[in-house]
Amino acid sequence: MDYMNWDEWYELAQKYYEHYKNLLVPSNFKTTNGYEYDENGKNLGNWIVRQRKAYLNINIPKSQRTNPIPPLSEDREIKLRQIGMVFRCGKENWEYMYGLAKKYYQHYGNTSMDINFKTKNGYEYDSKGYCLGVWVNQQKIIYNNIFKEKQSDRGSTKKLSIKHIQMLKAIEVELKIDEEDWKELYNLAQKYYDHFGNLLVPENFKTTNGYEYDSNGINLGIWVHETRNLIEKTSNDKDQGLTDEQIDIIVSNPLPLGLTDMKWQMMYDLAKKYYEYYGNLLVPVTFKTKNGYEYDETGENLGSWIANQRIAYRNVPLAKNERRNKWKPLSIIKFKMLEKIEMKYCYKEGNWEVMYDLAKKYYEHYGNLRVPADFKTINGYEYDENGKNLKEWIVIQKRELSDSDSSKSNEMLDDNKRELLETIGLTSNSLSEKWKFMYLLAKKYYEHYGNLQVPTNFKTTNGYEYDENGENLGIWIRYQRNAYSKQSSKIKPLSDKKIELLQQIDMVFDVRKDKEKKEDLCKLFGIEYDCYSKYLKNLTYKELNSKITYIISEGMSVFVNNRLNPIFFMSDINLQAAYGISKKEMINNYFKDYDARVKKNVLE
Amino acid sequence: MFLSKYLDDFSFEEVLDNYNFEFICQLDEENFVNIYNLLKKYNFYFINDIIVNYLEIFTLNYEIVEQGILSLKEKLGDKFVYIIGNDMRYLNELLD
Repeated sequence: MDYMNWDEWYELAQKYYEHYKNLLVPSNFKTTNGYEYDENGKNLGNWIVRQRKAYLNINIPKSQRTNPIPPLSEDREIKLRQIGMVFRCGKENWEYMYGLAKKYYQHYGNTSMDINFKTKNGYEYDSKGYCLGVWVNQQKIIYNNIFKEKQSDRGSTKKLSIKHIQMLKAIEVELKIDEEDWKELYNLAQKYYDHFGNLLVPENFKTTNGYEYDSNGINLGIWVHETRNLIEKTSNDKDQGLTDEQIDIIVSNPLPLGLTDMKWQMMYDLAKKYYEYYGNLLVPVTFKTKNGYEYDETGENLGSWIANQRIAYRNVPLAKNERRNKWKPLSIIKFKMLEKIEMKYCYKEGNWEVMYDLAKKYYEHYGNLRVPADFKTINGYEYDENGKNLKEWIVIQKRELSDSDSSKSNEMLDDNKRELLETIGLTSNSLSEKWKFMYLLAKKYYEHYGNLQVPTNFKTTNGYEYDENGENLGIWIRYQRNAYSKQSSKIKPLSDKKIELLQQIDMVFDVRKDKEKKEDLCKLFGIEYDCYSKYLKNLTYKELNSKITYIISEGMSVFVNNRLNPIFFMSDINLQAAYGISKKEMINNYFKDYDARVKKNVLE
Repeated sequence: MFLSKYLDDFSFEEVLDNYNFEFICQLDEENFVNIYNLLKKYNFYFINDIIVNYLEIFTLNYEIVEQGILSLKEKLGDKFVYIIGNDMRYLNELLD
């Protein structure tokens, strides 16, 4: 390129702008007067590209720049903007480049591309394409620089928002903070907390001392937000995001980094006080306290909270649909914090043997383990308020044995313990005494009436005759049905053994018809039946069929805002009010035979 | 089958289409009527739809259903019946 000084080039660009009202100069545009193409002229297009590259290098350390052009100065940036300069021209905006990166990720399963990778479609190399490798690398640099001091709002470090950060993480772009920066940020967060009593840090809060805003400071707001997300990672998560050293720092000096976890922090503090007072964390389930170690009826239920942490711990290796309860899996941070106060996720070895002895004495004394609720004992068979809660221990053993049934065991019980439990009537295939008892009643009913059509409020003592003082067999039958269909998250799913026994007395588990027909129909129209079965199973096949046909005929969509069209769930009167058609009319006029299409779909 | 007393022909046919015969047979009429009247008490205007699509509710204990209705009222406000009429999925909470 012929040498011209910057101001001379600028004048040329200015003429282009005055003529075309923009500065979107084609990259090979040559000119002598600024606006007319001249093969022998100055390559204005090329100069514009250089200015953009210079702009990208603003605030980037020399060693990290991807082109050798010196960064654009502030006054030149201003002058160029005055003539309509677009530093990220046309399609080269953030969202477009992200779209390409996402395509790469979808194609290759990662974003670990070479820095020189160029592309037009996102995943195929094209030397004339966009510099995607450079762009991805830039995002990493920009992210890292957010947490460095003296960042101005200029240039390419201009704001990587939390939304952009989340989008990048969604396609596994590796965004890391330098270790020293991270530690400094943690200290600043501590100062913020000491000053304000909380960590409700605004997103764009920058600071050098932790509690006063400083536009040249480090962005504490984004760091707090990021760290909150990382803190919830469990030991099973692919990328925990925090290093071991960072986890240790957080555990040693915990800050209330989770807005919703202030409660957890508070309960943890109580648990810690209990531990410091008693030297253990064997908190009775019903223990309530305000100061951590003294019982107070009006205090927080620490015992229950401890039990829930055990449940959350057990959920760590389980997928969401495998969990039997609502508790989020215990994060690695919380796990380590509880470990520090000797949290046991099962009873201590010594304690198990002690409890087993008590259970054995009870069993030898009464011939069974039907221990009353809240039964406490010192000698095993006599109630003593100051004794150990035998009922609670037996419930836990049964749960552990039952978990081992479904291969979800956390291996709290080794073979030796299982054998010992068997000698007192607790086996891995054991059914509770109560369940066995109710089953026998159901069986007698079946043998007497030839079916299991037990009326809802049928109570009985012998299985087939009504007795007001008897067990409610009707409700028990319904309960088994719900447990089978996993209809409620509050009911433990039915074990295989129980299902088998109930099938032997012709138990009807599924009270509804046409499940397969509905599934096939949904599949035809792109509805994942399993995802919506809880609601769709309530509709008759005809209603579902007719509504789908109606929706399509009227040019509507089966899905609205990623949810099933509300028309599916309207009552008849609401349907008439909204659409001017009754359910009966809809079924009569819109019910269609899709069998042929369903068969074709199945074969395909 | 007692249900035909409480439903028009079309809705009764829908019930037969939707549920296994054995299940319909084991319904307790007294309990059914209690729940029916409970729904009327709270001004549910689409009881037929509830029978057709949520017949299991009529097998539940009266107190449990009433508790569920009151929970929905607290959750959805005074216009809860209309809201449920527009989206009967809320009735699943009575079965949970």
